[in-house]
Amino acid sequence: MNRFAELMDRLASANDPELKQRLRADYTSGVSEAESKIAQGILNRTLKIRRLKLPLVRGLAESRLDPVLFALSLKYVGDAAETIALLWPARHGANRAPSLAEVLDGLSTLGRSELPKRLEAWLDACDAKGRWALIKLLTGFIPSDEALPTKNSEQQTGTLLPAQERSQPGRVEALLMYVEHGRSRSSDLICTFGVWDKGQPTPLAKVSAGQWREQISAFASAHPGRRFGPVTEVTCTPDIALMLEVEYESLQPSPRRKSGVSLIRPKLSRLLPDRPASSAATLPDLLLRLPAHQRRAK
Amino acid sequence: MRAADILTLTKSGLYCAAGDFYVDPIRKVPRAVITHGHSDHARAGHGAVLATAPTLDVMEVRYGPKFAASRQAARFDETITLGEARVTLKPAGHVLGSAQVLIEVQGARLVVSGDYKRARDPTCPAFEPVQCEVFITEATFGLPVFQHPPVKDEVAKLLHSLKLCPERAHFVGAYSLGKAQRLIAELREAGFDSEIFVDAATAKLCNVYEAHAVRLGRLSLLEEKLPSDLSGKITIAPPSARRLFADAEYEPVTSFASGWMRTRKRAQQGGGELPLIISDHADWNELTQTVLEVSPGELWITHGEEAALIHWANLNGIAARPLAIKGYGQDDVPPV
Repeated sequence: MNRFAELMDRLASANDPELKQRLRADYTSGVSEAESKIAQGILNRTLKIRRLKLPLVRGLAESRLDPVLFALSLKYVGDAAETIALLWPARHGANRAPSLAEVLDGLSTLGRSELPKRLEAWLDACDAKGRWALIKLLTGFIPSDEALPTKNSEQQTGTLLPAQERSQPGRVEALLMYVEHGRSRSSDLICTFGVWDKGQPTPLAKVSAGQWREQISAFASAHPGRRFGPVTEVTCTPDIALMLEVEYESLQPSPRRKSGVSLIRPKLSRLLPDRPASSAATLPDLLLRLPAHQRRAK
Repeated sequence: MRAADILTLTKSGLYCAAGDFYVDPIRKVPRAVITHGHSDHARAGHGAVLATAPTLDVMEVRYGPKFAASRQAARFDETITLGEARVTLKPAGHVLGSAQVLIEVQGARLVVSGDYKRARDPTCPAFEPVQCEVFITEATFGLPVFQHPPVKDEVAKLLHSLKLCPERAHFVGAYSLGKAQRLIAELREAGFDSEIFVDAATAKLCNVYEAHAVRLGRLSLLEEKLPSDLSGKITIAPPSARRLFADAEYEPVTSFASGWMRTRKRAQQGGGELPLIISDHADWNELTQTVLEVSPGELWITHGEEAALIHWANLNGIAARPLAIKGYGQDDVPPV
């Protein structure tokens, strides 16, 4: 299970078809022919698998963990299956991780009352990725981009987004790039924020510093860059940068802008002073949030 | 004297009135005790700075020789008297030179742990739990979903990828202080003895490690190489150095090493083709294990995902409060 999960994970993040091919070959050479056939059946969705309901799995996780800790974790991660996979408390003396064949065999032979206990043992034996793949497999939500690794990337990303006219409201973890004092006397501070693009910060839009004016101002004066009239550049490297969380109502394509995208009604929602700057969003990631037909090749 | 009165939170950071000094101040102050060299903890421009020798060396490399008016190096376990306070530095296991600060005033004991981890790190001495009445911790990974896998498994993934794609360069994005050197040292322990490429900023910090007897093996400067020289080699540098591989013909396998790679969203946003979960911060199990070992009467949390840790501490009968240093607006903003 762990190996199959690792394969799915790597395929999802690999861009290069040659790399995908090697990853598949590497997986196949490391498992039995029967196991490889099952994996193939899962990936191309020809295999029928008995489904379980997510609340059953969730019940198992909740019986092991305080409900507040579970709720806080779910709020952070966003996806219940992934939350369970990540926070599943390890139990000492667990067996080795089950193979796909063992999981399928268990599913077809175990009765309704025996299954939860077996599932618990499987979850104990898998690593976090293995648990994630197991839960997704059993609840029937293997994401389509991972199930069809041979499709080209445009098709893959298209399946991830609902087909609608406007992008959803959202938030982006961005980098502080420039500050300037507001034009009025009200001593507001205007922040230009951006995201990474090919390793460089690229500006997106401006927001008011609002209640965080002092902290932002303190960071800017501790890490000043060049000055352009009223505008001061702020140090923005993967090592030193201030990360901001910015909410927006929607995204629109904007060919005039360097970034190619404009944020509608951006609003600073909080500072993330402890996040590593290198984990800020990237421009390609943001562009993927546009409805598929609005995306253009950059 | 209550331990809780040893430090007060001011605009400049945590201040000890009995000894008239700040710990990791966020503004310029007359006297500072610095836990470690990362830029959010160690800033330039203080009057007197007390820190371990490696931390002072890191600050000099980053800010130049005039980073403070005066400096004093303390050894681990050496007690230094500042006014009415006794200050002792203890290993924190975070990066080279990283220290916890034990402050004793009239028998009351408080520990500022700075950033720390409990997992083994070949480049710095292990964290030592110190019993105290008030323990001040970080909570960067303060949620049960953060459980860092063994670093050896992550390093093995990188080496396996190099076997799978021997003709491609492997670029690993990592901080220039701490993460880079730990990854290099772990690669060496795994038997990888080829040269490793680093950028100039990381190289300077590697020199500090070497000067403090941390052996990193054969390193070469990334900036002096052509993309074709990097095929089949490992490069470790901050993510921005990825631009040096602009030539599509020599497209590297791109990786990023961070504890944030634990969640799929983060890994897919910024992890490249090979996200590696490697962190120099304590994960959830390390945080809770440490608090149980230190068994403080009170737990203060400087920054991070603190809500879950506070809840956990309360379940375990420990009073806990957030310090929200650097102006965290936690009350009105939910976690992501």
